Amino acid sequence: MEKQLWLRCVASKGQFSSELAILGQDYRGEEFSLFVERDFVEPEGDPDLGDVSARMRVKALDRAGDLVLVRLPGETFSNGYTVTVKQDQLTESLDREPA
Amino acid sequence: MILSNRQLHAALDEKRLVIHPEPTPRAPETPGGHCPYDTHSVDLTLSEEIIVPQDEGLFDIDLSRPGNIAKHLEQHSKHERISEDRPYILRHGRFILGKTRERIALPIDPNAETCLAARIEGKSSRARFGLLVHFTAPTVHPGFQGNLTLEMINLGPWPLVLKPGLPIAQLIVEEVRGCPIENPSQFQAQSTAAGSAKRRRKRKP
Repeated sequence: MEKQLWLRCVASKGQFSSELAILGQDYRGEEFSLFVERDFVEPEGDPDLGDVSARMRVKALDRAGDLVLVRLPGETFSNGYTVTVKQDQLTESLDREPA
Repeated sequence: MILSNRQLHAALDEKRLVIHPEPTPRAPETPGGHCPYDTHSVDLTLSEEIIVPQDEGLFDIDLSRPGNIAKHLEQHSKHERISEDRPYILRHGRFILGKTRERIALPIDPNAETCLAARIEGKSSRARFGLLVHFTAPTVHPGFQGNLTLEMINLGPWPLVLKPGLPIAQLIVEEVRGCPIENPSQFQAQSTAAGSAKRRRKRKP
């Protein structure tokens, strides 16, 4: 199985039932948000009832010190598929690929 | 290069293009019968979900600093589930979001010399009534997987009846030469949360 990289975030109900609204932070603490298909998110609770902690599957593109440039599973409203985050915002697992 | 209907069928068989559920039949079963494949496109259909943005005059959206806008959009949208018996009536000038019933995937094989990208386009039969199904974001990038969001506006004078399963758009699939590399240099022009940390540091005096 392939190692998966996950970014810590907050999830809530999306516009369409197949998606979630995601709130994340970049390495400076600046907020970004996007809609992501539910397959790419593991919420800790029911996001349809309100904000819950979650992790979102991402892909590392580059690293510099404790900073990691990651590709997100959707486009942020800040205009881009990538965001720079701190290493400690990320976790790894051996989880399966989303369907 | 745009894929012909024969090449679309081959790409589906080889899993270089995934459309689920797959549009059928691949050829008309009777002379003049329905077939979702045109010479170089395939029709996609409208799903049961419609999102109706609500203008309640409560907030302005600062596009340069949108922050947690995804949640606001959800909170200020009405979710409608349409059916054959309960269609959505799209009136003149109204903007809604829809989705394709079909899920699309354009996998990237790092060992292949090519991959596929696509564009979603309207259908002339709908355009004649003034219906736009996208107006700024037609591109489906290599590596994408998911249902396609439709940004729909009725520019015509007549209310339009939208039912699930309606052929609403067409997908045009193109071959991308060379396997794309996802590297930071692609994103250097981005100026907000997105972009390369290395690049940011270089900009500092």
